[in-house]
Amino acid sequence: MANDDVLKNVNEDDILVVRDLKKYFPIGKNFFGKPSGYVKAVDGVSFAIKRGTTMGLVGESGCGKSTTGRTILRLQDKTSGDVLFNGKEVFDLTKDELRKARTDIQIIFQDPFSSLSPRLPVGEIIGEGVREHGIVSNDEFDDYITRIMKACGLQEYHKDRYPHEFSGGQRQRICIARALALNPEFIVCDEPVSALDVSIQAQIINLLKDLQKEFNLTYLFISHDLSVVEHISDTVGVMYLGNMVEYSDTEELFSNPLHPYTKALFSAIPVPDPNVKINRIILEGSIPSPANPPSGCKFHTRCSECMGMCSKVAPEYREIKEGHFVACHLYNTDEMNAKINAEIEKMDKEAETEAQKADK
Amino acid sequence: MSKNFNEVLKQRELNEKKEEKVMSLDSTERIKVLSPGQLVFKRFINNKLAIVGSVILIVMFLFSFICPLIYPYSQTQIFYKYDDSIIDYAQAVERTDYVITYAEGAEELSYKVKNYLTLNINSLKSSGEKEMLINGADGNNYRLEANEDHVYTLYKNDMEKVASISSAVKYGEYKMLGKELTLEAGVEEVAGFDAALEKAIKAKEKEFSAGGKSFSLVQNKKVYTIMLAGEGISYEGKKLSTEFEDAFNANAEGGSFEFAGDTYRVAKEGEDSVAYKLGNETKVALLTNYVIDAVVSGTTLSNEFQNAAIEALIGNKTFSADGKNFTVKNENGELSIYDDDNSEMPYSIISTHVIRRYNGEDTIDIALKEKIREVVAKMDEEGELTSTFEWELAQVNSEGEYTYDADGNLIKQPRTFTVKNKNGSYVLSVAQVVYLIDTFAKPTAQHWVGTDGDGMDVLARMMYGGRVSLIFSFIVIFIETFLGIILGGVAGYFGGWVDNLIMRMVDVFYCIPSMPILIILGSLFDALKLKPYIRVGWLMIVLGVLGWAGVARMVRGQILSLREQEFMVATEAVGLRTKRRIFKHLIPNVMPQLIVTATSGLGGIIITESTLSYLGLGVKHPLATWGTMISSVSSAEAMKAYTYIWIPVGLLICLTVVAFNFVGDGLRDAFDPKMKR
Repeated sequence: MANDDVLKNVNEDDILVVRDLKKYFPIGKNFFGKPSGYVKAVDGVSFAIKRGTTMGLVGESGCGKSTTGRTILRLQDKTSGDVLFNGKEVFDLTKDELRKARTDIQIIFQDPFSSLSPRLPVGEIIGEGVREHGIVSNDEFDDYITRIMKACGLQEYHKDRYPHEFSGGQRQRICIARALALNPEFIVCDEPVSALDVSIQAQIINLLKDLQKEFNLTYLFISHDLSVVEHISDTVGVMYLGNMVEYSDTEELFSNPLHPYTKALFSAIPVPDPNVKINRIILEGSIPSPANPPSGCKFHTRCSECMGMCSKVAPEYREIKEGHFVACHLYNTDEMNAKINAEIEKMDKEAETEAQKADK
Repeated sequence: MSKNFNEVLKQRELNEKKEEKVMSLDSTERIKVLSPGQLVFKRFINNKLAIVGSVILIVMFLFSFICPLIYPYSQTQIFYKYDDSIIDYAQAVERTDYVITYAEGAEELSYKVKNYLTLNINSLKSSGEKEMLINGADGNNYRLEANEDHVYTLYKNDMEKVASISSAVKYGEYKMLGKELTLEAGVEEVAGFDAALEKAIKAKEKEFSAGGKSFSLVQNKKVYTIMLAGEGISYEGKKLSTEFEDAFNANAEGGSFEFAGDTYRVAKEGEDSVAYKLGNETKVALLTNYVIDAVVSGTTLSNEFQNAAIEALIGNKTFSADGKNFTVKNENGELSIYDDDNSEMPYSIISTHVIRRYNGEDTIDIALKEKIREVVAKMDEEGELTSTFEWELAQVNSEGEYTYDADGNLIKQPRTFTVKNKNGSYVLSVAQVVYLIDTFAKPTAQHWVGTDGDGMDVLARMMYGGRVSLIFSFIVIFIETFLGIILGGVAGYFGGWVDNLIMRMVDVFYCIPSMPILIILGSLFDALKLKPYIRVGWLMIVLGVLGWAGVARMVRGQILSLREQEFMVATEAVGLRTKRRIFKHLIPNVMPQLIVTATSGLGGIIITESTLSYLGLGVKHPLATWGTMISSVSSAEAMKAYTYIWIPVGLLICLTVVAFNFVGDGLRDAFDPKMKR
């Protein structure tokens, strides 16, 4: 796929560049131990994030958002593609280098209940990375932890308590404090608020925004909650079945969604006024299996504006407007359409001759 | 990044500190925060059962490790007691063999003669005769003369066989059925025998004669036995006068007669009577079954004395031996020998009964011996099988020593002797104070829980047994847990083929039937004759190695589930070292299960150890363990009789195991932060 033009404007300002990242999970094993198939969780994703900004990553459950996030952190191996952090390939680092680089990229997990070790006091959970990497001197350690905790809205006396003594919101603050304590430049927020109730969500989001302002952090904010993404993100990418289908500035995307999937997603945002009638686009069926994705455009099985070519040729992910990328045949130029139609005809002919051969 | 976090935060803190903070009364900051250790401890002591278990365990440890230091007895100390016990005291046996005392200058008898002497004496005794002739198997002829009841003299006599009267011999048989006549082999055929026989049978005569010989018939149903009558006197040499024949015939059944200045003696040899002319006689030996005992115990009687005494007994009643003169006196049928210089008490006495102590010592005084002989003689006479008599015997005191009165005489106590006739030997039994091992003593002030079958103090053994059991179980659990954590941890953390390999090892160890292995090892240890302590060591290692599989499987399972938890992913994201991830995150999360398994396992090991010891495969005597103590009273009868041994020991085992389980449960609850009480 011609993803390279997506990244044509990459410069030193981009803290993270992801180029054509693929992550396939093997499924099933035959007798000789070779996988019988792959789940294409991430199937060619490219984007770049500017320092000090937040990129939102939205999509249905199972579309590969979290996998993208975790692969960027090298918590799992990639299948192919590049992840450049500050211009360095993350997957080229040696074990020791990676361990040192961990201070720069951190992650906040979705579930604040399982992401904290139940046997360690909060102070230790937050501080163990600090001590490991020698972020501050030993004399300052206690004060530093206290400061970090206060910055995240926790009290000093919480240090000696265990995670089970905290509420969900507090636990998420602990997670944020743990990530923050390592003095990172970039944080992957893997649905940090989806497990929390709305009031707490707002607190956490505002906390994240405040911290970003104060410490010039960069976020990759993964969520399926569009309102939250709209609130926090500077740019937004929409993923469907392992592919990025649309990417743009938040304002541009929310005011002018192009991809039928994005439109469907946005039409599902609840409006807090019962008198307003919206023409909602209801997606039928469920997300197809990433192990056996549909041919052509992966979305064509559920698309309300599906055309003949959609099921045969995958659309090109290209820049329609300045900084607005989309992968849909609806926005093809005539030139492209003609090319595609010619290709389809050729394919049909080939299929026909093959069928005749088979008949003979 | 232009600013460091720390600096930014410090700045913020400085700004904030300007505002004075007032804590409100209900501020959560006022809550006292307990350290994790304190929290666990607090939760633990809030658990009543755990406290009960801990107290029991503390008591057990004090009992096993501290009490033996102040308790006066050791585990292998054997206790004794002095008690009356019926013992077989002595034996009185009539002497049946005859001692041969050779006359001066006589040659020793050939064994061919010697072997038959007792037999000959007995037949002489039963015949009531005074003398008998013996055709010695050595070719010589002997004359045996009875001097007294128990003294015989053997003479060698150059006898000459003169004549014999042969009695009837079997001639043949006649069967009525078939009229069949069978003659004995080698008999002379007689003319006219058949006719005479038939005639006699027809006439039903008992005797008939044919060919100058007389026959007799003995009928047995349908068979007649034909006897040829003796032919009267047949001579070895020349025929003697009728006077001799008359005298011979008169004494045909035995006896002696004079003829022509010579003495003839008739002896029955089988059916025949044989007349011997006596020749020169030489004395060969004196035979006696008398036993001569010295009166003063400890005096040894010389052979010279004994021989002389027997000589004198049949002779002039006085003799001298060892430079002293003695006289044999017969007082009311009892023979005693007096020293001529001291006639107040007998020097020795003569009897036919040998009286012997069972323990080999000859400390029966002569008075008791005489009493015994008297009783035995009476029993012999009246045919009694048992009899009793009173006698005074010296007894040892509780220190095992004899006591003396002021004059230095032994203090004696009356005892009842029981005499029993056992096939001619008389066994005397009497109650004596004996030094005994104090086995199975009931609880007393000295032994609070009594003594066991080996006379060892049960309480002391309970203490030392507890030591072994507790140390044993702790070491076994340590080995098990150590191996289990290492192998299970490696398997769970690294996964892949390592996991596969270790888990297959676990499967193999699960398949090993531990009991047969332990039984084989038990007999192997027996065969190697290992010292008890070394044996215990090996047993601990073997049990530990056999038991790690369960722990490893548990640890692996825990780690597998923990490894997938997000907080473990988080540790990786934070960039912690593998060591820290394992020891700070994995192990603490496995700890509660591990502690519960280990603590409950402690109880299990105590039970295993007791079981093995009970079966005799584990810890061996004299090392005490609770298992061996119970096994020493394991039979149904013993269990009924010696409840004071196995109930306390069983209670100890029970309490310890229960306490370990209580503490294990308490610890699990205390370690589990989610547990709210």
